[in-house]
Amino acid sequence: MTLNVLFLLPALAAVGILLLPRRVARPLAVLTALTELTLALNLWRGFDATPRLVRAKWIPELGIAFALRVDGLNLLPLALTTFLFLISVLHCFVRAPARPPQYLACLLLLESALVGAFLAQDLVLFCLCSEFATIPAGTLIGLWGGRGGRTAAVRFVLFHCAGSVLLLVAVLMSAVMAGAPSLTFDLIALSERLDRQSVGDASWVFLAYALAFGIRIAMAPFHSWLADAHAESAPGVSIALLGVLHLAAYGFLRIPVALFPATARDLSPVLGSVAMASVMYAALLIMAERDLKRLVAFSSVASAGTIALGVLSGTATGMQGACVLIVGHGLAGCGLLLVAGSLRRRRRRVELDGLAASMPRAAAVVVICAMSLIGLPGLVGFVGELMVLVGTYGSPSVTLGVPTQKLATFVVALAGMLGVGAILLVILTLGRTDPPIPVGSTSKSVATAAVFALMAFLLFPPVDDFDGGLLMRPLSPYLEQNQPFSALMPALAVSATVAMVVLAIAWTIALGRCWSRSDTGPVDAPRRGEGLLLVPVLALLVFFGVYPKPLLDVVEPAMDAYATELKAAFSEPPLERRGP
Amino acid sequence: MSAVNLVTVIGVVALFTSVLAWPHVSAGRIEGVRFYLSLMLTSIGAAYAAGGSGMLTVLGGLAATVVGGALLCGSRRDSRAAQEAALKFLAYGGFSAGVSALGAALVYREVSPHGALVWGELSRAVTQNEVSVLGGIGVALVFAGLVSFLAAVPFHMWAPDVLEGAPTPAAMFVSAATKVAAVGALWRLVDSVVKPWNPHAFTLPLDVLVASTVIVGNLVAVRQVLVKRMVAYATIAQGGYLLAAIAHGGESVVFFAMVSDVVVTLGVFGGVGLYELRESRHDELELADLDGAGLRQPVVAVALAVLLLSMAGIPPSGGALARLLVFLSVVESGRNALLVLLALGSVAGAYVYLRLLVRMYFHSGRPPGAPITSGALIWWLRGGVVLCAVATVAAGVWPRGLLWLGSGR
Repeated sequence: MTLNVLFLLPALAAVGILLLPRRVARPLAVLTALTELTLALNLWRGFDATPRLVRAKWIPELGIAFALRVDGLNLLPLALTTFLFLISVLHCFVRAPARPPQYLACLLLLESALVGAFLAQDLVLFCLCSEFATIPAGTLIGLWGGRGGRTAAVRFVLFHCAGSVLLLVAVLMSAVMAGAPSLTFDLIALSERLDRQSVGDASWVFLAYALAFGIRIAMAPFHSWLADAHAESAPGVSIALLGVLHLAAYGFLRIPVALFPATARDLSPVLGSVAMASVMYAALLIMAERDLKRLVAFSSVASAGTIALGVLSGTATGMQGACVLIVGHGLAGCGLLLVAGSLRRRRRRVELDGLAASMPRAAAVVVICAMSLIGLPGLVGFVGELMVLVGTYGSPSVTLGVPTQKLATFVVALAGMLGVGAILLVILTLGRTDPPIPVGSTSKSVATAAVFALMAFLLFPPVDDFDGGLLMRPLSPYLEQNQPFSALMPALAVSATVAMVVLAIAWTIALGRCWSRSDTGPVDAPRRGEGLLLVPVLALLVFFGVYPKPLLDVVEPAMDAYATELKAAFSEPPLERRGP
Repeated sequence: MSAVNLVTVIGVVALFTSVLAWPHVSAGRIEGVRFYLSLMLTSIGAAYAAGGSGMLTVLGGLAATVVGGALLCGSRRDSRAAQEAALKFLAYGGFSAGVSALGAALVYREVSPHGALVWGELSRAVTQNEVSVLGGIGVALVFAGLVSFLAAVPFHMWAPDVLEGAPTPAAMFVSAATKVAAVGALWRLVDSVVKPWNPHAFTLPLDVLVASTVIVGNLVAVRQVLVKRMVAYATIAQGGYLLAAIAHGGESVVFFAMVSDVVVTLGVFGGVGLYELRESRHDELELADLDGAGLRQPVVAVALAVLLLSMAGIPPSGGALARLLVFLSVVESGRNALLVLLALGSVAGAYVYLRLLVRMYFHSGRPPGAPITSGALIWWLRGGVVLCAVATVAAGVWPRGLLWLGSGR
């Protein structure tokens, strides 16, 4: 019952807001968002390891059911989403949008879709809910966004449609793979069935999942929609969009890894490397960016990479870390976006330059949130990042196909040459900050490619009698010599550490602009309640950083069970290489 | 998918069209007597084609559909485009029906010692006897003729011209009725002749047809400027999914996909007709005429948006579930390459419908031209569009009814 209400209440309230008189809209929306948060917190308070389940027939001919479930995996993102939506709805009182009833109705429809997807136990329901979320979100970006909102909305919807179609295809293929006796889309039944019978090569299905969620989580090659969506939309909408990202991260944690643990094991070095590349790329973007909203978007890209790495580590600690990171990213991102909203109103620009001089308190909030994002001890981000790193280091080592030694040597030599150039280019690029070089310019792209090459030079795994990249050489005694390419996972752990450091440096450089430049523009007086919304966000950021036990209590039992299952798959001998 | 269900669908479509056509008639855009008489002829023909008990009944029905449809398209005498559309439909439809008739003759030559051209006897004849090359060619010809009524690429040439030129109510009916007729007849042909005879002979050609229809239809639709032409290409692309359902799906999947597609087609053409009567400054509704339409008539615009999103496969809608069912059937028969192409096509399709929605909601509206008709009759159109939107959402939320109807029990 609670779960049904949690799912359907915002949608019904949205219809109510459209039908009822205009002045009821805001109170009704606040009431709905508050009820949602209360229900979610109530679930959290009464949480024990046994999941709560709602199940009804929907299309029994095809094994599609209306099934909702709350357990340790989805409780945290669910509670976080309801919290973020409450903040987003309350932000209406700080700055009223045009046509408030329609705005609030879209917001609540989005909340309903996201909550439904978080709760969905049936994969088809998950697909449908997450696909529907695109429409209210796109409308919010386009109709209530800035000048570029229209383009941003179209880009957002197209990227998400592509992701949804891929997700649908992957879900259908995995259900058909599980096959007999009749189709089912129930997550648990499906993973049990896939576990019992040896399915053939599932790597294509897994890659489809990874790509679908990679697009929606804004991993590096597909991140362009996120920056636009954040930069062009109103603060309340940007905060709601964080929920869309968290849904994708949760989906990646929940679905493909549970269904195909063996394939996850096979592919995790490759996907992990992509995730790390994404983090490094995001760090570069952060370094060069001055617009606070885009900074949040790029740090979301970085967080997405870290979360994916935690999931791919296949360890309980890493996955718990991923869950905690979702919370940390949500809170810190929400804080930064609130500040960005008030910057835009009070200074008419969202750049960080000279912020400390003109708005010292806002600068302080920005610094605190950014510090959480880069994992300063005492803030919630630290807990998450540390756990992801520990988990990644603890991951059982993995094997991958064997490329020839010549190829590896060639790649490393090339990477070395490029790396030297990279150092020079990065120094030059960073040194020339006035006038700043726009993101996406050729020199920056070259610099990015060069940094990847440098990473390869430092971190290339040992192959045959080649000793590996510079940073890898000390590790080589610890690596199993009989499995030539198995070093990638430790390499990944090392590169994750490097990426965290680079990210921290990047944020420091970005934040340095707060002090390094003067700000002469006028600053409006703050509105009542503007700072008030930040209070719960910052309080939670610090509270969970100092005392993460409530978070861990929820994720621990679920993740332990999950990870035991995965560890069984991870420690199995790798599947035989399939024939041609 | 019994004949009764198919005939009922045709009847409902005809009834709905005749209601929605009335505002156009009273505005003087089409000739009432001519329109309604030819509507009756076409619907009788389409009903025979969809639910006919054998090949000859289907051919007769198709002939009546072609003649009636041409008269429908020509029911606006002052428009050269409408006359051209009528002629094109007559020529293309007549040719396709003729090809089918040739095929039927070859099939008859094959089965005449064993029985007549009734589906059941055909099915028995092809299972019990060897089928010669000529018989195979005959089946292929019948098939090609029927597929061109579904406007599958490369037999789609008639659809954009006819649907663009014909008056909107005629386009609505021709598009929906030919689809029902073609799907009904094709399903019978595939189910009772092709599958018992040689289930694999048609798989590859069908897959090629499906992929080319979905991709070409959607890609060409992206480039269109006239709303009706764009919708025409979009309905071509939707026909591709129906063809995929026929090739790989069960009876109930075909019925569900067909009905939800027909509902959406009716609603979208109804909406186009509404905007033509209310806001068009020219004879033809251009994409730019829809600028800001979403904020001028909010309820109808939301209904139209729901219908377009249903075509794009966004839930909760009949279109989304139909796409899901079709994809599922394709996965189940293991045609992964086709699945990838269908997925690509549907992303391209999403862009088509998004373009319309962006025009309606994100562009600032200009003041509309003087309405051609006003008053109470416009509410018929509004009600019709909203009804279609409600129906498609209902099909998306509670699909079991339609699936049950389609399962033939």
